[in-house]
Amino acid sequence: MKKVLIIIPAYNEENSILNTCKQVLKYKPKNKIKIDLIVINDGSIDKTEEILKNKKIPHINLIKNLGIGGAVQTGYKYAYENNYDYAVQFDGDGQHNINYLENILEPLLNNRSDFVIGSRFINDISSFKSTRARRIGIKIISFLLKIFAHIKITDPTSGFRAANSECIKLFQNNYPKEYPEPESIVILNKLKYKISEVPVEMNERTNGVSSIRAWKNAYYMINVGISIIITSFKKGKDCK
Amino acid sequence: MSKILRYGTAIFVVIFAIIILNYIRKNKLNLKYALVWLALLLIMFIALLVPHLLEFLAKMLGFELVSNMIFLCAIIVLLCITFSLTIIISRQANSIRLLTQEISILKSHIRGDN
Repeated sequence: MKKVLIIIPAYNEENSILNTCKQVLKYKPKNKIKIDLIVINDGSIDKTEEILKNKKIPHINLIKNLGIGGAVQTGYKYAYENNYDYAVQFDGDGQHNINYLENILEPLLNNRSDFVIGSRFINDISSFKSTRARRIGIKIISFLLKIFAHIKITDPTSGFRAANSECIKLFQNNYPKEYPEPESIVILNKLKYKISEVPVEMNERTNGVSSIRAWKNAYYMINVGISIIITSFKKGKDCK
Repeated sequence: MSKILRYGTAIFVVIFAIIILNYIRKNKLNLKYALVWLALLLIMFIALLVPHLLEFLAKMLGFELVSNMIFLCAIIVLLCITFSLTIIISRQANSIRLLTQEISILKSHIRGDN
């Protein structure tokens, strides 16, 4: 039976983390897969740790805040050490819908892909498409990925994504730190891994603030742009 | 160069050297990182001992004033040092991240959090 690890990075998510975890734990897969979850508590300063401990939810407390990249990578390290076949990144803020788990795993289970991204923009099943400014930002990132990395991705900042064991092995060793979502796509493509997208439904975040805050948008775009361009000029060996 | 300027700079070089050596002695500065400063002080010291050397070099390279050459050199050297520092910081940030992750995984495992 294939083992799947759901990695939930959480930073100050006391209002939503329990609900997210409950939904994941409640989820019954149709396929024969074993699902575990691990919450990576990225040095939260609210009651996130207390909740995880009291409710006995499997978690890792980062002793210092590392940011989204370092937190997600910790999950990949855990997946690698415990020999998981697949790892799924899942947001702790209620944005993602666990019912799409098997849609996102399907290309991996069939060996058609190495890495799958859950996209809001492939069709209209997701009514929530983020704000206008955010959508324009996503369009620009998609465009940059197309020009520099030669890959077509409709939702490059989606944090709902699944990796097979080879990608787990890659990411536990080298995962982009600051702007990991778009940059990891460039790295995977550079190393010739097969990336695909499946349509998923996303909800508006119920609580907390996105790691991409509004007033930081311009700064974020410049950084992501530079990171995509530079990463696309990296040598393969420097991506491993 | 006036005598006051020369002696003043010489005193500065000596004091700075003593401070650096003292920091190394107290294990607050790694010799590896101190070497570049010590080398810089040595060059300054030589320039003070042989002032005509600077004048000769400035003339050779076409500087109108010796001070212009010194300023340009100082800016280039300081740029190189700060740039190498940002590289060192990046390397250390990577090490710290790795350590944080490994310790956190171990600690959570020991406490039975996962």
